[in-house]
Amino acid sequence: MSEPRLQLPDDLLAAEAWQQLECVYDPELGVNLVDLGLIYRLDVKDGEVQVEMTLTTPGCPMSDSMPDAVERALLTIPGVSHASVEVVWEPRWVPEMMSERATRELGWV
Amino acid sequence: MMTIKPKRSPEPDLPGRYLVTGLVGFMLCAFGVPLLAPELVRTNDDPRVFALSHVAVLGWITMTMFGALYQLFPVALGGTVRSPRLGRWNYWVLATGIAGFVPSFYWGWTAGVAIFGSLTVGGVLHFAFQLLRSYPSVRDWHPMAYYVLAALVWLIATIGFGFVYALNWHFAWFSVTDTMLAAHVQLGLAGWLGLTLMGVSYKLTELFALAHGHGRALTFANLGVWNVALLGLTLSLLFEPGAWLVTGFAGLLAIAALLYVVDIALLLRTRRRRKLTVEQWHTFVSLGSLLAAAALGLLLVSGHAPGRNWVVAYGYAALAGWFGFAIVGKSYKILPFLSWLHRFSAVAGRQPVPLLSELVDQRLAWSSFGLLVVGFAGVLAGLLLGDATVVRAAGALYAAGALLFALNAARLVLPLAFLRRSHLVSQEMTA
Repeated sequence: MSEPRLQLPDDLLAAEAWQQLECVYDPELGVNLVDLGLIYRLDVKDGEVQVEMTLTTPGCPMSDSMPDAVERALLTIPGVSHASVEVVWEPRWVPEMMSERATRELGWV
Repeated sequence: MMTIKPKRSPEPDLPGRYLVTGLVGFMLCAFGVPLLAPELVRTNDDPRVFALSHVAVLGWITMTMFGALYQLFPVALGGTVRSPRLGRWNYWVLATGIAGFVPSFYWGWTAGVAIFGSLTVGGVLHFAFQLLRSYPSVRDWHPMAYYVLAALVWLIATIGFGFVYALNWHFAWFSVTDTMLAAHVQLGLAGWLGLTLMGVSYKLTELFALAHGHGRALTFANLGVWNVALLGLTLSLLFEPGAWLVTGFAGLLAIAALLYVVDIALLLRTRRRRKLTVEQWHTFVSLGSLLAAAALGLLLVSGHAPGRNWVVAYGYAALAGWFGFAIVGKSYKILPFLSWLHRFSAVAGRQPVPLLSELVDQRLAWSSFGLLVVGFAGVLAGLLLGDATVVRAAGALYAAGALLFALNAARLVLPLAFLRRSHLVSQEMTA
Protein backbone atom coordinates (compact mmCIF):
# COMPACT_ATOMS: atom_id res chain seq x y z
CA MET A 1 0.00 0.00 0.00
CA SER A 2 1.48 3.37 -0.98
CA GLU A 3 1.97 6.10 1.61
CA PRO A 4 -0.52 8.98 1.60
CA ARG A 5 0.92 11.93 -0.38
CA LEU A 6 1.64 15.12 1.54
CA GLN A 7 -0.70 17.85 0.33
CA LEU A 8 0.67 21.40 0.47
CA PRO A 9 -0.73 24.57 -1.06
CA ASP A 10 0.74 25.25 -4.48
CA ASP A 11 2.10 28.68 -3.57
CA LEU A 12 3.93 27.20 -0.59
CA LEU A 13 5.37 24.49 -2.82
CA ALA A 14 6.44 27.10 -5.37
CA ALA A 15 8.31 29.07 -2.72
CA GLU A 16 9.93 25.85 -1.54
CA ALA A 17 10.87 24.94 -5.12
CA TRP A 18 12.59 28.27 -5.77
CA GLN A 19 14.50 27.82 -2.52
CA GLN A 20 15.49 24.30 -3.52
CA LEU A 21 16.76 25.45 -6.91
CA GLU A 22 19.04 27.92 -5.15
CA CYS A 23 20.93 24.82 -3.98
CA VAL A 24 21.60 23.61 -7.53
CA TYR A 25 24.90 25.04 -8.70
CA ASP A 26 26.49 25.40 -12.09
CA PRO A 27 29.59 23.32 -11.32
CA GLU A 28 31.77 25.43 -13.62
CA LEU A 29 30.73 28.86 -12.44
CA GLY A 30 30.03 28.02 -8.81
CA VAL A 31 26.80 30.08 -8.85
CA ASN A 32 23.31 28.69 -8.32
CA LEU A 33 20.92 28.47 -11.26
CA VAL A 34 18.40 30.95 -9.81
CA ASP A 35 21.00 33.69 -9.34
CA LEU A 36 22.38 32.97 -12.79
CA GLY A 37 18.92 33.79 -14.14
CA LEU A 38 18.59 30.43 -15.86
CA ILE A 39 15.16 29.59 -14.43
CA TYR A 40 12.61 31.40 -16.61
CA ARG A 41 9.37 30.04 -15.21
CA LEU A 42 8.24 27.82 -12.36
CA ASP A 43 4.59 26.72 -12.06
CA VAL A 44 3.01 24.42 -9.50
CA LYS A 45 -0.37 22.80 -9.93
CA ASP A 46 -1.68 20.06 -7.66
CA GLY A 47 1.80 19.13 -6.53
CA GLU A 48 3.18 18.97 -10.07
CA VAL A 49 6.01 21.36 -10.85
CA GLN A 50 6.77 22.62 -14.33
CA VAL A 51 10.01 24.49 -14.95
CA GLU A 52 11.16 26.36 -18.00
CA MET A 53 14.86 26.99 -17.94
CA THR A 54 17.72 27.86 -20.22
CA LEU A 55 21.49 27.51 -20.29
CA THR A 56 24.12 30.18 -20.74
CA THR A 57 24.69 29.07 -24.35
CA PRO A 58 23.20 26.38 -26.63
CA GLY A 59 26.55 24.57 -26.69
CA CYS A 60 26.79 24.44 -22.91
CA PRO A 61 28.56 21.24 -21.89
CA MET A 62 26.16 20.93 -18.96
CA SER A 63 23.14 20.78 -21.25
CA ASP A 64 22.67 17.12 -20.38
CA SER A 65 23.01 17.31 -16.67
CA MET A 66 21.59 20.63 -15.44
CA PRO A 67 17.95 19.96 -16.39
CA ASP A 68 18.22 16.52 -14.80
CA ALA A 69 19.68 18.06 -11.64
CA VAL A 70 16.80 20.54 -11.47
CA GLU A 71 14.27 17.72 -11.81
CA ARG A 72 15.97 15.70 -9.08
CA ALA A 73 16.14 18.72 -6.75
CA LEU A 74 12.41 19.38 -7.18
CA LEU A 75 11.50 15.78 -6.49
CA THR A 76 13.25 15.92 -3.11
CA ILE A 77 10.59 18.42 -1.88
CA PRO A 78 7.90 16.70 0.18
CA GLY A 79 4.60 17.20 -1.58
CA VAL A 80 5.99 17.35 -5.11
CA SER A 81 4.58 14.41 -7.00
CA HIS A 82 5.95 15.17 -10.44
CA ALA A 83 8.50 17.55 -11.93
CA SER A 84 9.11 18.35 -15.56
CA VAL A 85 11.85 20.56 -16.95
CA GLU A 86 11.88 22.10 -20.39
CA VAL A 87 15.00 23.72 -21.82
CA VAL A 88 14.21 26.74 -23.97
CA TRP A 89 16.46 29.09 -25.94
CA GLU A 90 14.14 32.01 -26.33
CA PRO A 91 14.66 34.52 -24.94
CA ARG A 92 18.37 33.83 -25.24
CA TRP A 93 20.21 34.14 -21.93
CA VAL A 94 22.29 37.28 -21.50
CA PRO A 95 24.59 38.12 -18.56
CA GLU A 96 22.26 40.96 -17.54
CA MET A 97 19.82 38.27 -16.35
CA MET A 98 22.15 37.40 -13.47
CA SER A 99 21.36 38.68 -9.98
CA GLU A 100 23.64 41.17 -8.26
CA ARG A 101 24.80 38.36 -6.00
CA ALA A 102 25.88 36.31 -9.02
CA THR A 103 27.82 39.15 -10.61
CA ARG A 104 29.50 39.74 -7.26
CA GLU A 105 30.43 36.07 -6.95
CA LEU A 106 31.92 36.13 -10.43
CA GLY A 107 34.04 39.08 -9.34
CA TRP A 108 32.43 41.65 -11.60
CA VAL A 109 31.25 44.22 -9.02
CA MET B 1 8.72 28.43 -28.42
CA MET B 2 11.88 26.78 -29.78
CA THR B 3 13.23 23.90 -27.76
CA ILE B 4 16.23 21.69 -28.39
CA LYS B 5 16.46 18.35 -26.74
CA PRO B 6 19.98 18.21 -25.33
CA LYS B 7 22.26 15.78 -27.10
CA ARG B 8 23.74 13.04 -25.02
CA SER B 9 27.49 13.14 -24.74
CA PRO B 10 29.33 9.98 -25.84
CA GLU B 11 30.39 7.24 -23.47
CA PRO B 12 33.49 8.49 -21.64
CA ASP B 13 35.75 5.72 -22.88
CA LEU B 14 35.64 7.05 -26.45
CA PRO B 15 37.23 10.47 -25.84
CA GLY B 16 38.96 9.08 -22.75
CA ARG B 17 41.19 6.58 -24.55
CA TYR B 18 42.39 9.24 -27.01
CA LEU B 19 43.03 11.72 -24.19
CA VAL B 20 44.99 9.19 -22.13
CA THR B 21 47.14 8.33 -25.15
CA GLY B 22 47.65 12.05 -25.74
CA LEU B 23 48.89 12.37 -22.19
CA VAL B 24 51.41 9.57 -22.78
CA GLY B 25 52.50 11.32 -25.98
CA PHE B 26 53.00 14.56 -24.05
CA MET B 27 55.24 12.80 -21.54
CA LEU B 28 57.34 11.24 -24.32
CA CYS B 29 57.79 14.68 -25.93
CA ALA B 30 58.59 16.43 -22.66
CA PHE B 31 61.29 13.88 -21.78
CA GLY B 32 62.41 13.49 -25.39
CA VAL B 33 63.51 17.12 -25.76
CA PRO B 34 66.29 17.05 -23.12
CA LEU B 35 67.37 13.57 -24.26
CA LEU B 36 67.68 14.63 -27.90
CA ALA B 37 69.12 18.08 -27.17
CA PRO B 38 72.32 17.58 -29.25
CA GLU B 39 70.34 16.50 -32.31
CA LEU B 40 67.79 19.28 -31.90
CA VAL B 41 70.34 22.11 -31.85
CA ARG B 42 72.12 20.69 -34.90
CA THR B 43 69.40 20.25 -37.52
CA ASN B 44 65.80 19.46 -38.27
CA ASP B 45 66.88 16.94 -40.91
CA ASP B 46 67.53 13.98 -38.62
CA PRO B 47 65.41 10.81 -38.28
CA ARG B 48 65.39 11.17 -34.49
CA VAL B 49 64.11 14.74 -34.77
CA PHE B 50 61.48 13.52 -37.25
CA ALA B 51 60.50 10.84 -34.73
CA LEU B 52 60.16 13.36 -31.89
CA SER B 53 58.17 15.81 -34.01
CA HIS B 54 55.76 13.02 -35.01
CA VAL B 55 55.32 11.94 -31.39
CA ALA B 56 54.33 15.55 -30.71
CA VAL B 57 52.09 16.03 -33.72
CA LEU B 58 50.42 12.61 -33.84
CA GLY B 59 50.89 10.97 -30.45
CA TRP B 60 50.26 14.02 -28.30
CA ILE B 61 48.41 16.81 -30.10
CA THR B 62 46.36 14.92 -32.71
CA MET B 63 45.35 12.21 -30.22
CA THR B 64 44.26 14.89 -27.75
CA MET B 65 42.35 16.77 -30.44
CA PHE B 66 40.58 13.60 -31.60
CA GLY B 67 39.51 12.91 -27.99
CA ALA B 68 38.41 16.51 -27.46
CA LEU B 69 36.44 16.57 -30.72
CA TYR B 70 34.67 13.30 -29.90
CA GLN B 71 33.56 14.99 -26.68
CA LEU B 72 32.87 18.50 -27.98
CA PHE B 73 31.20 17.72 -31.29
CA PRO B 74 27.97 16.54 -29.63
CA VAL B 75 27.91 18.93 -26.68
CA ALA B 76 29.23 22.11 -28.30
CA LEU B 77 27.76 21.81 -31.78
CA GLY B 78 24.72 19.65 -30.99
CA GLY B 79 25.79 17.04 -33.55
CA THR B 80 25.76 13.27 -33.33
CA VAL B 81 29.01 11.40 -33.98
CA ARG B 82 28.43 8.63 -36.49
CA SER B 83 29.47 5.12 -35.46
CA PRO B 84 31.17 5.62 -32.08
CA ARG B 85 31.84 1.87 -32.09
CA LEU B 86 34.00 2.26 -35.18
CA GLY B 87 35.72 5.15 -33.40
CA ARG B 88 36.72 2.73 -30.62
CA TRP B 89 38.14 0.23 -33.09
CA ASN B 90 39.82 2.96 -35.04
CA TYR B 91 41.67 4.02 -31.91
CA TRP B 92 43.58 0.73 -31.96
CA VAL B 93 44.47 1.13 -35.64
CA LEU B 94 45.74 4.66 -35.05
CA ALA B 95 47.54 3.90 -31.79
CA THR B 96 49.26 0.84 -33.31
CA GLY B 97 50.22 2.88 -36.37
CA ILE B 98 51.79 5.69 -34.34
CA ALA B 99 53.46 3.27 -31.90
CA GLY B 100 55.19 1.57 -34.84
CA PHE B 101 55.71 4.61 -37.03
CA VAL B 102 57.67 6.69 -34.53
CA PRO B 103 60.31 4.04 -33.59
CA SER B 104 60.64 3.19 -37.30
CA PHE B 105 61.48 6.83 -37.94
CA TYR B 106 63.86 6.92 -34.97
CA TRP B 107 65.88 3.91 -36.15
CA GLY B 108 65.52 4.74 -39.84
CA TRP B 109 63.64 1.52 -40.67
CA THR B 110 62.08 2.64 -43.95
CA ALA B 111 59.86 -0.44 -44.38
CA GLY B 112 58.46 0.20 -40.86
CA VAL B 113 57.78 3.83 -41.76
CA ALA B 114 55.84 2.65 -44.84
CA ILE B 115 53.91 -0.13 -43.03
CA PHE B 116 53.04 1.71 -39.82
CA GLY B 117 52.66 4.98 -41.72
CA SER B 118 49.92 3.31 -43.75
CA LEU B 119 48.15 2.20 -40.56
CA THR B 120 48.42 5.73 -39.17
CA VAL B 121 47.03 7.18 -42.40
CA GLY B 122 44.13 4.73 -42.22
CA GLY B 123 43.36 5.73 -38.63
CA VAL B 124 43.54 9.45 -39.32
CA LEU B 125 41.49 9.29 -42.51
CA HIS B 126 38.86 7.21 -40.78
CA PHE B 127 38.50 9.84 -38.06
CA ALA B 128 38.31 12.65 -40.62
CA PHE B 129 35.62 10.91 -42.67
CA GLN B 130 33.75 9.86 -39.52
CA LEU B 131 33.46 13.50 -38.43
CA LEU B 132 32.73 14.78 -41.94
CA ARG B 133 29.88 12.25 -42.19
CA SER B 134 28.57 13.56 -38.87
CA TYR B 135 28.44 17.20 -40.01
CA PRO B 136 24.88 17.11 -41.42
CA SER B 137 23.67 16.55 -37.84
CA VAL B 138 25.23 19.79 -36.52
CA ARG B 139 22.57 22.01 -34.92
CA ASP B 140 24.60 24.98 -33.71
CA TRP B 141 26.69 26.46 -36.53
CA HIS B 142 29.04 28.27 -34.19
CA PRO B 143 32.31 29.47 -35.84
CA MET B 144 33.94 26.39 -34.28
CA ALA B 145 31.95 24.24 -36.72
CA TYR B 146 33.45 26.06 -39.73
CA TYR B 147 36.99 26.07 -38.34
CA VAL B 148 36.93 22.34 -37.62
CA LEU B 149 35.38 21.60 -41.02
CA ALA B 150 38.22 23.45 -42.76
CA ALA B 151 40.73 21.73 -40.45
CA LEU B 152 39.45 18.29 -41.47
CA VAL B 153 39.99 19.09 -45.14
CA TRP B 154 43.56 20.22 -44.39
CA LEU B 155 44.06 17.08 -42.29
CA ILE B 156 43.26 14.90 -45.28
CA ALA B 157 45.70 16.92 -47.40
CA THR B 158 48.41 16.73 -44.71
CA ILE B 159 48.10 13.01 -44.27
CA GLY B 160 48.05 12.54 -48.04
CA PHE B 161 51.38 14.32 -48.41
CA GLY B 162 52.80 12.47 -45.40
CA PHE B 163 51.71 9.11 -46.80
CA VAL B 164 53.40 9.73 -50.13
CA TYR B 165 56.61 10.91 -48.39
CA ALA B 166 56.60 7.89 -46.04
CA LEU B 167 56.24 5.44 -48.95
CA ASN B 168 58.75 7.40 -50.96
CA TRP B 169 61.35 7.08 -48.19
CA HIS B 170 61.20 3.30 -48.71
CA PHE B 171 60.64 3.06 -52.47
CA ALA B 172 62.62 6.18 -53.48
CA TRP B 173 60.30 7.21 -56.33
CA PHE B 174 61.40 10.84 -56.36
CA SER B 175 63.54 13.28 -54.45
CA VAL B 176 61.74 15.12 -51.63
CA THR B 177 62.89 18.72 -51.43
CA ASP B 178 62.95 20.98 -48.36
CA THR B 179 60.08 23.04 -49.72
CA MET B 180 57.95 19.91 -50.27
CA LEU B 181 58.54 18.92 -46.64
CA ALA B 182 57.76 22.49 -45.57
CA ALA B 183 54.39 22.28 -47.38
CA HIS B 184 53.54 19.10 -45.43
CA VAL B 185 54.59 20.76 -42.15
CA GLN B 186 52.56 23.93 -42.83
CA LEU B 187 49.47 21.95 -43.80
CA GLY B 188 49.70 20.02 -40.53
CA LEU B 189 50.55 22.93 -38.24
CA ALA B 190 48.50 25.78 -39.67
CA GLY B 191 45.83 23.70 -41.41
CA TRP B 192 44.82 20.76 -39.25
CA LEU B 193 46.17 21.66 -35.80
CA GLY B 194 45.88 25.44 -36.03
CA LEU B 195 42.34 25.69 -37.33
CA THR B 196 41.09 23.02 -34.91
CA LEU B 197 42.67 24.76 -31.95
CA MET B 198 41.35 28.17 -32.98
CA GLY B 199 37.82 26.89 -33.52
CA VAL B 200 37.71 25.02 -30.22
CA SER B 201 39.26 28.03 -28.44
CA TYR B 202 36.52 30.37 -29.64
CA LYS B 203 33.88 28.04 -28.24
CA LEU B 204 35.59 27.20 -24.95
CA THR B 205 36.60 30.80 -24.23
CA GLU B 206 32.97 31.88 -24.59
CA LEU B 207 31.81 29.04 -22.38
CA PHE B 208 34.29 29.13 -19.58
CA ALA B 209 34.89 32.88 -19.36
CA LEU B 210 31.16 33.53 -19.76
CA ALA B 211 31.96 35.87 -22.63
CA HIS B 212 28.88 37.13 -24.44
CA GLY B 213 28.14 39.79 -27.03
CA HIS B 214 31.36 39.50 -29.02
CA GLY B 215 30.83 40.10 -32.74
CA ARG B 216 31.91 37.41 -35.19
CA ALA B 217 33.09 39.54 -38.11
CA LEU B 218 36.76 39.30 -37.15
CA THR B 219 36.38 35.57 -36.39
CA PHE B 220 35.15 34.84 -39.91
CA ALA B 221 37.60 37.31 -41.47
CA ASN B 222 40.44 35.41 -39.79
CA LEU B 223 39.05 32.11 -41.07
CA GLY B 224 39.03 33.44 -44.63
CA VAL B 225 42.46 35.09 -44.54
CA TRP B 226 44.01 32.08 -42.81
CA ASN B 227 42.75 29.60 -45.40
CA VAL B 228 43.67 31.76 -48.39
CA ALA B 229 47.15 32.35 -46.95
CA LEU B 230 47.66 28.66 -46.25
CA LEU B 231 46.51 27.59 -49.69
CA GLY B 232 48.77 30.18 -51.30
CA LEU B 233 51.72 29.22 -49.11
CA THR B 234 51.30 25.50 -49.83
CA LEU B 235 51.03 25.99 -53.59
CA SER B 236 53.97 28.40 -53.71
CA LEU B 237 56.10 25.98 -51.66
CA LEU B 238 55.21 23.07 -53.94
CA PHE B 239 55.54 24.75 -57.31
CA GLU B 240 58.21 27.32 -56.35
CA PRO B 241 57.10 30.13 -58.66
CA GLY B 242 59.24 32.57 -56.67
CA ALA B 243 60.55 33.14 -53.16
CA TRP B 244 58.69 36.47 -52.91
CA LEU B 245 55.36 34.63 -53.22
CA VAL B 246 56.27 32.25 -50.37
CA THR B 247 57.25 35.22 -48.19
CA GLY B 248 54.08 37.08 -49.19
CA PHE B 249 51.76 34.24 -48.22
CA ALA B 250 53.72 33.55 -45.02
CA GLY B 251 53.27 37.25 -44.21
CA LEU B 252 49.54 36.94 -44.84
CA LEU B 253 49.42 33.94 -42.51
CA ALA B 254 51.25 35.97 -39.85
CA ILE B 255 48.66 38.75 -40.27
CA ALA B 256 45.91 36.16 -39.79
CA ALA B 257 47.65 34.96 -36.62
CA LEU B 258 47.66 38.54 -35.34
CA LEU B 259 43.98 38.91 -36.23
CA TYR B 260 43.24 35.78 -34.21
CA VAL B 261 45.16 37.00 -31.16
CA VAL B 262 43.38 40.38 -31.30
CA ASP B 263 40.02 38.63 -31.71
CA ILE B 264 40.57 36.39 -28.66
CA ALA B 265 41.70 39.42 -26.64
CA LEU B 266 38.49 41.26 -27.62
CA LEU B 267 36.45 38.16 -26.77
CA LEU B 268 38.07 37.98 -23.35
CA ARG B 269 37.22 41.64 -22.73
CA THR B 270 33.53 40.69 -22.80
CA ARG B 271 33.99 38.00 -20.16
CA ARG B 272 31.81 38.03 -17.05
CA ARG B 273 34.22 36.04 -14.93
CA ARG B 274 36.69 38.65 -13.91
CA LYS B 275 39.24 36.50 -12.12
CA LEU B 276 41.83 34.98 -14.45
CA THR B 277 42.18 31.23 -14.07
CA VAL B 278 45.20 28.98 -14.55
CA GLU B 279 43.67 27.93 -17.87
CA GLN B 280 43.64 31.54 -19.09
CA TRP B 281 47.27 32.10 -18.14
CA HIS B 282 48.16 29.08 -20.26
CA THR B 283 46.16 30.69 -23.08
CA PHE B 284 48.18 33.92 -22.84
CA VAL B 285 51.48 32.01 -23.17
CA SER B 286 49.98 30.02 -26.05
CA LEU B 287 48.98 33.19 -27.93
CA GLY B 288 52.38 34.76 -27.32
CA SER B 289 54.01 31.60 -28.70
CA LEU B 290 51.82 31.75 -31.80
CA LEU B 291 53.10 35.26 -32.53
CA ALA B 292 56.69 34.13 -31.87
CA ALA B 293 56.25 31.15 -34.22
CA ALA B 294 54.73 33.42 -36.91
CA ALA B 295 57.71 35.79 -36.64
CA LEU B 296 60.19 32.89 -36.80
CA GLY B 297 58.36 31.44 -39.79
CA LEU B 298 58.63 34.75 -41.64
CA LEU B 299 62.36 34.91 -40.91
CA LEU B 300 62.81 31.36 -42.19
CA VAL B 301 60.96 31.78 -45.49
CA SER B 302 62.61 35.14 -46.17
CA GLY B 303 66.04 33.52 -45.76
CA HIS B 304 67.06 35.45 -42.64
CA ALA B 305 67.49 32.46 -40.32
CA PRO B 306 71.13 31.80 -39.39
CA GLY B 307 70.88 27.99 -39.28
CA ARG B 308 68.74 24.86 -39.41
CA ASN B 309 68.39 24.95 -35.62
CA TRP B 310 66.00 27.88 -36.23
CA VAL B 311 63.70 25.52 -38.12
CA VAL B 312 63.60 23.35 -34.99
CA ALA B 313 63.00 26.47 -32.85
CA TYR B 314 60.08 27.41 -35.12
CA GLY B 315 58.55 23.94 -34.74
CA TYR B 316 59.11 24.00 -30.99
CA ALA B 317 57.47 27.43 -30.59
CA ALA B 318 54.43 26.19 -32.51
CA LEU B 319 54.13 22.69 -31.00
CA ALA B 320 55.17 23.14 -27.36
CA GLY B 321 54.24 26.83 -27.20
CA TRP B 322 51.10 27.51 -29.17
CA PHE B 323 49.48 24.05 -29.11
CA GLY B 324 51.11 22.72 -25.94
CA PHE B 325 50.10 25.53 -23.59
CA ALA B 326 46.63 25.67 -25.10
CA ILE B 327 46.14 21.92 -24.63
CA VAL B 328 47.47 21.85 -21.07
CA GLY B 329 45.39 24.91 -20.14
CA LYS B 330 42.18 23.64 -21.69
CA SER B 331 42.73 20.24 -20.06
CA TYR B 332 42.15 21.96 -16.71
CA LYS B 333 38.61 22.58 -17.97
CA ILE B 334 37.85 19.61 -20.23
CA LEU B 335 39.16 16.84 -17.96
CA PRO B 336 37.34 17.90 -14.76
CA PHE B 337 34.21 18.41 -16.83
CA LEU B 338 34.44 14.89 -18.23
CA SER B 339 35.15 13.50 -14.80
CA TRP B 340 32.31 15.46 -13.16
CA LEU B 341 29.86 14.51 -15.86
CA HIS B 342 30.43 10.82 -15.40
CA ARG B 343 30.93 10.76 -11.65
CA PHE B 344 28.50 13.31 -10.26
CA SER B 345 25.89 14.25 -12.86
CA ALA B 346 23.63 11.38 -11.76
CA VAL B 347 23.37 12.72 -8.21
CA ALA B 348 23.56 16.50 -8.79
CA GLY B 349 20.44 18.15 -7.41
CA ARG B 350 19.90 15.36 -4.89
CA GLN B 351 23.08 15.80 -2.91
CA PRO B 352 25.96 18.31 -2.76
CA VAL B 353 28.51 17.80 -5.53
CA PRO B 354 31.91 19.40 -6.01
CA LEU B 355 32.64 22.26 -8.40
CA LEU B 356 34.84 21.52 -11.41
CA SER B 357 37.64 23.66 -10.02
CA GLU B 358 37.63 21.56 -6.85
CA LEU B 359 38.48 18.44 -8.85
CA VAL B 360 41.79 19.96 -9.90
CA ASP B 361 44.70 20.39 -7.49
CA GLN B 362 45.20 24.12 -8.08
CA ARG B 363 48.57 24.30 -6.31
CA LEU B 364 49.91 21.53 -8.51
CA ALA B 365 48.46 23.26 -11.58
CA TRP B 366 50.17 26.58 -10.82
CA SER B 367 53.48 24.86 -10.01
CA SER B 368 53.29 22.97 -13.28
CA PHE B 369 52.54 26.21 -15.17
CA GLY B 370 55.59 27.95 -13.68
CA LEU B 371 57.92 25.10 -14.61
CA LEU B 372 56.46 24.77 -18.11
CA VAL B 373 56.85 28.49 -18.83
CA VAL B 374 60.45 28.71 -17.59
CA GLY B 375 61.36 25.43 -19.29
CA PHE B 376 59.71 26.41 -22.57
CA ALA B 377 61.42 29.83 -22.70
CA GLY B 378 64.77 28.21 -21.88
CA VAL B 379 64.47 25.49 -24.53
CA LEU B 380 63.44 28.03 -27.15
CA ALA B 381 66.41 30.26 -26.26
CA GLY B 382 68.74 27.23 -26.31
CA LEU B 383 67.49 26.16 -29.74
CA LEU B 384 67.94 29.66 -31.18
CA LEU B 385 71.44 29.90 -29.70
CA GLY B 386 72.30 26.35 -30.73
CA ASP B 387 73.28 25.48 -27.16
CA ALA B 388 72.52 21.85 -26.23
CA THR B 389 73.31 22.35 -22.53
CA VAL B 390 70.69 25.09 -22.22
CA VAL B 391 68.15 22.94 -24.11
CA ARG B 392 68.89 19.99 -21.84
CA ALA B 393 68.65 21.97 -18.57
CA ALA B 394 65.53 23.91 -19.57
CA GLY B 395 64.02 20.77 -21.11
CA ALA B 396 64.37 19.03 -17.75
CA LEU B 397 62.42 21.85 -16.07
CA TYR B 398 59.76 21.58 -18.74
CA ALA B 399 59.59 17.81 -18.22
CA ALA B 400 59.13 18.33 -14.47
CA GLY B 401 56.23 20.71 -15.20
CA ALA B 402 54.73 18.18 -17.60
CA LEU B 403 54.97 15.49 -14.94
CA LEU B 404 53.09 17.66 -12.42
CA PHE B 405 50.40 18.26 -15.03
CA ALA B 406 50.20 14.53 -15.74
CA LEU B 407 49.72 13.77 -12.04
CA ASN B 408 46.79 16.18 -11.95
CA ALA B 409 45.31 14.92 -15.19
CA ALA B 410 45.82 11.19 -14.71
CA ARG B 411 43.54 10.83 -11.70
CA LEU B 412 40.76 12.58 -13.63
CA VAL B 413 41.08 10.92 -16.98
CA LEU B 414 42.46 7.42 -16.32
CA PRO B 415 39.18 5.93 -15.06
CA LEU B 416 37.38 7.36 -18.09
CA ALA B 417 39.51 5.50 -20.59
CA PHE B 418 38.34 2.11 -19.49
CA LEU B 419 34.86 2.47 -18.09
CA ARG B 420 31.51 3.17 -19.63
CA ARG B 421 29.17 5.78 -18.14
CA SER B 422 26.84 3.21 -16.60
CA HIS B 423 29.68 1.65 -14.62
CA LEU B 424 30.88 4.99 -13.28
CA VAL B 425 27.45 6.20 -12.28
CA SER B 426 26.60 2.98 -10.52
CA GLN B 427 29.88 3.21 -8.61
CA GLU B 428 29.01 6.71 -7.41
CA MET B 429 25.49 5.69 -6.46
CA THR B 430 26.80 2.81 -4.38
CA ALA B 431 29.47 4.93 -2.69
